[in-house]
Amino acid sequence: MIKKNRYIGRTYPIQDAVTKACGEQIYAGDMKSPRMLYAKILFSTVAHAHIRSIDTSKAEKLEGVVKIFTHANSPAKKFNSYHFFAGQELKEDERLFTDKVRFVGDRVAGIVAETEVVAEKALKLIEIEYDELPVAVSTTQALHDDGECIHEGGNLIDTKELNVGQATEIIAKSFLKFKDTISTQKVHHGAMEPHVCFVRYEMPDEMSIYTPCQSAFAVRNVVAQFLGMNYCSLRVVKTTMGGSFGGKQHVILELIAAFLAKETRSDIRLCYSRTDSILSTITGTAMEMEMESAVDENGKIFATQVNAIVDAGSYLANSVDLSIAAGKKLFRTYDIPNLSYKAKTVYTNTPTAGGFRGWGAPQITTGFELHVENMARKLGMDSISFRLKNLVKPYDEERLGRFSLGNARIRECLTLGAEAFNWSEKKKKSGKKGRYARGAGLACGGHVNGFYGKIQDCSSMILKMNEDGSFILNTGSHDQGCGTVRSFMQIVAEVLDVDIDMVKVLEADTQRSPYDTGTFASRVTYVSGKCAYNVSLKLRDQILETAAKYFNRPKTYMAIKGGRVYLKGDPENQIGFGRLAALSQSVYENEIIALETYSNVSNPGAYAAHFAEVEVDTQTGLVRVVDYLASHDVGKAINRGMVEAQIQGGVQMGIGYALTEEIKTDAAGNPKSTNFSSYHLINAPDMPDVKTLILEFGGDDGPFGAKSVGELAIVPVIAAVMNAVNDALGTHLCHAPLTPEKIIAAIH
Amino acid sequence: MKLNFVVNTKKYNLDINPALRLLDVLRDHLNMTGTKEGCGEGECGACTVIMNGKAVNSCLVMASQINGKEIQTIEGLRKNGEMDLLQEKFVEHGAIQCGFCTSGMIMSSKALLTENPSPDDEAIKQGIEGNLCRCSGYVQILNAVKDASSAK
Amino acid sequence: MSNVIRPETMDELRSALDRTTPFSKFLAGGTDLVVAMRQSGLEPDTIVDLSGVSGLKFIERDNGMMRIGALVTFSELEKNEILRKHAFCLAKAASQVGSVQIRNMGTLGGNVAHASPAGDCITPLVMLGATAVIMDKNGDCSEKKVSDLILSPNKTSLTHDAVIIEFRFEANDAAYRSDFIKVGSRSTVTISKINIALACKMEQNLVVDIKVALGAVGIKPFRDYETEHAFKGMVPNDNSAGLFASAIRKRVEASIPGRSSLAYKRHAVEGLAFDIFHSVLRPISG
Repeated sequence: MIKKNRYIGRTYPIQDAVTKACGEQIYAGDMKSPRMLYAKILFSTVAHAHIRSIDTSKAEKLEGVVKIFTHANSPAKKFNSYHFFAGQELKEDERLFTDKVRFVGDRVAGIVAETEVVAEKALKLIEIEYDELPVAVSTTQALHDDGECIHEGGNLIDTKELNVGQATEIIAKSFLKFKDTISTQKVHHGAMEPHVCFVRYEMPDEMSIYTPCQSAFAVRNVVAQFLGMNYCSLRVVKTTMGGSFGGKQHVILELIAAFLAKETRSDIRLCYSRTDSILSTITGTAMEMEMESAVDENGKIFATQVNAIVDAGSYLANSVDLSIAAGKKLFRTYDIPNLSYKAKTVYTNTPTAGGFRGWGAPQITTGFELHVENMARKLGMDSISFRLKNLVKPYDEERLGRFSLGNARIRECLTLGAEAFNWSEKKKKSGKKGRYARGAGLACGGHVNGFYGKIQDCSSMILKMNEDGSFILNTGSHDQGCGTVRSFMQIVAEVLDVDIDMVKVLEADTQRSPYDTGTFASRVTYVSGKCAYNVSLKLRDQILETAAKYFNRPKTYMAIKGGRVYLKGDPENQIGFGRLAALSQSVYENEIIALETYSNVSNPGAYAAHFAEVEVDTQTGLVRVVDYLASHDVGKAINRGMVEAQIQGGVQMGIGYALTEEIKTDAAGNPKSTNFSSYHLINAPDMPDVKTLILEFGGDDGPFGAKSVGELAIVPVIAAVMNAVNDALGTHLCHAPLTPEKIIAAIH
Repeated sequence: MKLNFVVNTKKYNLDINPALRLLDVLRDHLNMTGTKEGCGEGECGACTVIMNGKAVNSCLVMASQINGKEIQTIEGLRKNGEMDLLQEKFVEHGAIQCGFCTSGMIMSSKALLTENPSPDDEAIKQGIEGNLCRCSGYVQILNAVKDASSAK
Repeated sequence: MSNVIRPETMDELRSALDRTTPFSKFLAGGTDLVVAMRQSGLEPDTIVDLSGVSGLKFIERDNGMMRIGALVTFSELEKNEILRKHAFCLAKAASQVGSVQIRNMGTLGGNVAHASPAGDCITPLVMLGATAVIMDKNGDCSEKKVSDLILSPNKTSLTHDAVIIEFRFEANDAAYRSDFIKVGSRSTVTISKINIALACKMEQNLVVDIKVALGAVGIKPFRDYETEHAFKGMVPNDNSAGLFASAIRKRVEASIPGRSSLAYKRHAVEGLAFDIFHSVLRPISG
């Protein structure tokens, strides 16, 4: 008998929707304390230079300034903002306040003042003399023999290779082969909440950091280690997240603010402006990719080699790890028996690259999907048939890591999506009619479900029942504003068959929560959600154990329904959960509480096929996305409405990535995109109505069969839109973003 | 400078630095943190409030300009503990995710519906063209505003 | 900390003008100044907040002369029936400045005084041959053509102790039709990369008069007299829009030679010119 789900699969608003709708939700930037001080950072205005001198005397004299820090009076110790788990080995190349600036936006000084106005004034009174050095804004310049070293050891940080089979040799001998060079640009996450954090200093030497983060434990680890504090004395609390998309996954503001708090023994609020958030946190990594594949005359790809250059920007952060992660994603969606990937990670005098939605998958998928489209076109095969010759099948083995891709349903995403989108009809309209050109494009993407096969991937949760039959799920999770908490409520409510409002979920607080690896690698639903499921089962069992004592019957003869335990065959004989809890305490002197540590056991692919229809004004180069469909293999949608909303948000981000967004610098390294007036996000008038096709085939280890969707949502978008533009114009534009200038240059 | 103004039907008579922004007056002086700063240059709309019936970016309004004006913020939409219909519809339609754009988005929508009680899709999109959302793709937001309008 | 003066009458405004120095700034809508101050750390000695001065918000037509107060907002311009009837190009331009929120605060006076080369409302004013009425600290008023008032990007001939109070242009011939068009980085809420204002008077099928101004393709918006001369007296046919577009294109090429944006603008402007020609002139055959 298949039980119909009461909560799973339904649509719920996010758990704090009402609070947010009323403007009453508190974000870190809203937090205040009576004795708080305000911190502001002075950033470098040159792209590459030694600081010859830095004079803070005028600024220090300003009334209301408490203290100013520069490289001269702050630790020379280095850190890496990307550190997130204990024992992680990483090269550390970043200082709190640098003595050598490496990009426009590098941290030069920190000011603590009594008001924000005073702090901002003080910034302008600091006098710096720079000894400027040659600037490398491109990886080509950085790798040039005469390129000035940005860090000791040279600008080529590392070269990583991933290999299956004999791709290079086979391609060299192949007759039918194709080569493409594709690039994607540096981008900004664009979360509406700029970076911010609030630190409470507690005498004699304890601190609480309130921050919108993706791992409170990472923040704790990095800050405590840097400042020499005990982990138990440093509390990190994850605040309501006003969007992250990877942009708040690194430990940057927290470390600076904690240092300032410790030095001044004060509460500190550090708010970054939008410009600071764009330039001086982390950016989405720019990649150049050269892809070459050998195919047979039927369109089967039998060898692919990829050479990539990853632009790390000024500091290492996660770039070498990302260069590997991007390469690994090549092995996920298509079944290619010989695949070689080689990536060079390079420093440049540009804003630092770091975590970003998809972590290399948007870039590598854009590259590969443009490459695939080009091959299909040259072979005279249609986009769908060519892909169907090469896409993975359910339960295929991922060739590099030798683990199962699980119930991989990319083929259905593609075929069912094409049908729902009216692909064939739309393709018939492709081409130029007068001034306007119509085109349709598609792309396939795959993503992960956690870190399995890579690093530790576990979550612990504690579930307890209160004396009224309500529950508290204590997690180390971090809802990014995408409804994680709500989905856990649904899972617990479903397993325990209680009203969803009887379930409260707590998020990460390093002093009170059990450990969780963090919101990364699309692991939250698949791993943490499974943990919630398992701990609910454990607690259900304890409830039955307690009821067994009460009824003096074996557990097997009991059932649970609507927050009550009743005897099978005698449903009038029942006891409510709350009463059981009370009895448990008073009579059995026992608490109904369960702990679960769940470690991921698999890493299936989550897949999607996206379809875009565009209209290009061949006179102005402006592109309008007129129709869009996203077809997703989600396993099971826990909160259906939220899954759709996440997909649509990913499409918004991807369209901008494809057409309008870029963090640009000029040849001297001066940034040309410094705020939303120069960095254009897609607004409501330019957003198409995004249709979603949610395919639920189950078959993997996630709770109720669920797989990831949040990161995957952006992965195929860029290529779908770029393929559509190329289809409209008959071009082969391969360098994102496809701005009006690039389109006009290609047409004329 | 002494400024007389009304926020959410309450009268204020305060001596404030006139060069502050309305956003700062609301968030720091009046402790109304519902209005957010997303960009500080009038591009994202997170700071949108209604001033004398018009949606404006409070990050661009200088305090001296609010003298004699009536301002409505997100905190002023709830009446006697009851949410405004727009707020209800935003919740109902899943138009809220991270929530950071929500205050501004609701205020722009409120200004739109006050002026144009039955806007078509194009008019709604134009009404929120100055409000950026990074989480949603605007689909549920449009549905919420549409629903709030035809229900009126 | 800046000293903020908030005059509420014309008298108080005069007295405020007397207290300004070259380091003072004027606040009209605030949409330009507030951002500039924060970004550059600019701290003027005095800020004159004009937004409360009564008597500077009007849109009237007196004996065929349009008179618009300097503090009229873009929203007010957009919706004004008189303006839509007699100078649609200006109402249209105003409707496309920024976003709803920006249009509710930004003013015509502020747009002109800020003198951005891409200032959307400046182009129609230049095309219409509009003048600005400037008042000095003595209360004396002078009139200057907007095209002369603006000198170069963000620079006007206004002295620190004078302020624009009104704009005027002739609107005495109902036979004129006008329009405005722009292109930016995206379809809405964008700074112009190019904009065009066009007005035309037709009698039967003859172009009796034609006026065209181009913006964002030079240090300031300007009239394209050559194209006007070429098209005056013509009877438009199916090829006219294309010829017009080519003429405009040539003018743009002459205006910004060597600029990196020329490669794009020379093509984009043809599309704009084509569109606006169609919307203003009625082509002969369908």
